[in-house]
Amino acid sequence: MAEHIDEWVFYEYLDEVLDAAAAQSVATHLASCPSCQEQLARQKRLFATLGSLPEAPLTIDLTPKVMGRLRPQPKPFLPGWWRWVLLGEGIAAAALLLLLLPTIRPLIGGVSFTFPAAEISNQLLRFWVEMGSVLTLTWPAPSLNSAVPFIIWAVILGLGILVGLIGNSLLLPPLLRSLSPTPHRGQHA
Amino acid sequence: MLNFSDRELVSRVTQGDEEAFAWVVRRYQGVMFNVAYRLLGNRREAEDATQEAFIRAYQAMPSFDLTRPLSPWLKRITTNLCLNWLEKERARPQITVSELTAPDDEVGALEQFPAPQVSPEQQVSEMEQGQRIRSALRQLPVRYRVVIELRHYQELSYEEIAAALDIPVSTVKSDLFRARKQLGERLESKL
Repeated sequence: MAEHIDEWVFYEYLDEVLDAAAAQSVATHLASCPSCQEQLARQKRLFATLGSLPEAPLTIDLTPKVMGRLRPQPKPFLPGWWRWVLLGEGIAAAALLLLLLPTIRPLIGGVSFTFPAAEISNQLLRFWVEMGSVLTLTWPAPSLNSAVPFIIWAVILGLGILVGLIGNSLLLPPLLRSLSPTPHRGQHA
Repeated sequence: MLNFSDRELVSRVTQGDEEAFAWVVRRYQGVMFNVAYRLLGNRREAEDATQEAFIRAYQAMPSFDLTRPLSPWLKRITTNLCLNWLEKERARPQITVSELTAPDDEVGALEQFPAPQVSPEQQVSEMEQGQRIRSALRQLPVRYRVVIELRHYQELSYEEIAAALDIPVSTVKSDLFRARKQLGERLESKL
């Protein structure tokens, strides 16, 4: 009997990549060699086992996720908590402008008003002044004996927000760049 | 678009029709997920890889040759992506043997898709057989796992595998031989 056939030759035999002569030679040997028949049977079993691997069901529909990534959502202008910072800045800027009000009032001229916010604004100013005394701040409190017209409030608030936005346009971009998300596992390839 | 051919869908995608691409995803997500699952061995990662592979396919679709079938092209993209992931993974701390052999969530998955024609015993048996094969595949070195995937599940020729992996045919043959030998030993020992 001829020598046994190498294991790798059987794999190529099963893959049908041997040329006709080699395949015929293997077939002839197999007909008379129980040991090689057993070897071939083992390899066929492996092929069958691999072929029997069931398809795993996909339990979720990936379509919305994929399509969502094709149309990336616009990033919010600012992270949520930064809106509160902006609001705080606006209020602080408005308060600062209020302190300057005695100086700018002569430029604006006397204006009468009937808006109830005047009382509120006076209360807020008093609170501000009291805070100033509690904190022993040294600058003089503004003398606001008369109510402030609504239009002045609007102007002050607008200017305050403007100052805040200008300040943020200078300060925020580098910070936002540093906050931008880093790639995760799903994007690293 | 349900009845559109792959070619029609791809043609529409290249003209900017995103809805056509959604149909491509619906049609091939299962196939691509299974490629990724066999290679990565983890359901969650396979889902991530499938998504990423679709994004890549979308970007590369303008260069797709409409005379060729779509499925092998998508599978190849998924395979390459998983190969990249696995190679990067090798640079990280190795996962433990218990993680490698830990049963996946296939039980839950099968429960959601019961096969009405199959008895519960048969279902359990198939599930165990699937876990045994996946476990054996996961334990193979990456390069062996990939040649098994390409040869046995994507049915590529030696030459096609060599071209896909950019390696000589002789290397494909030797890798396949070693991969099959290791798989055979592992699977036989578990029978």
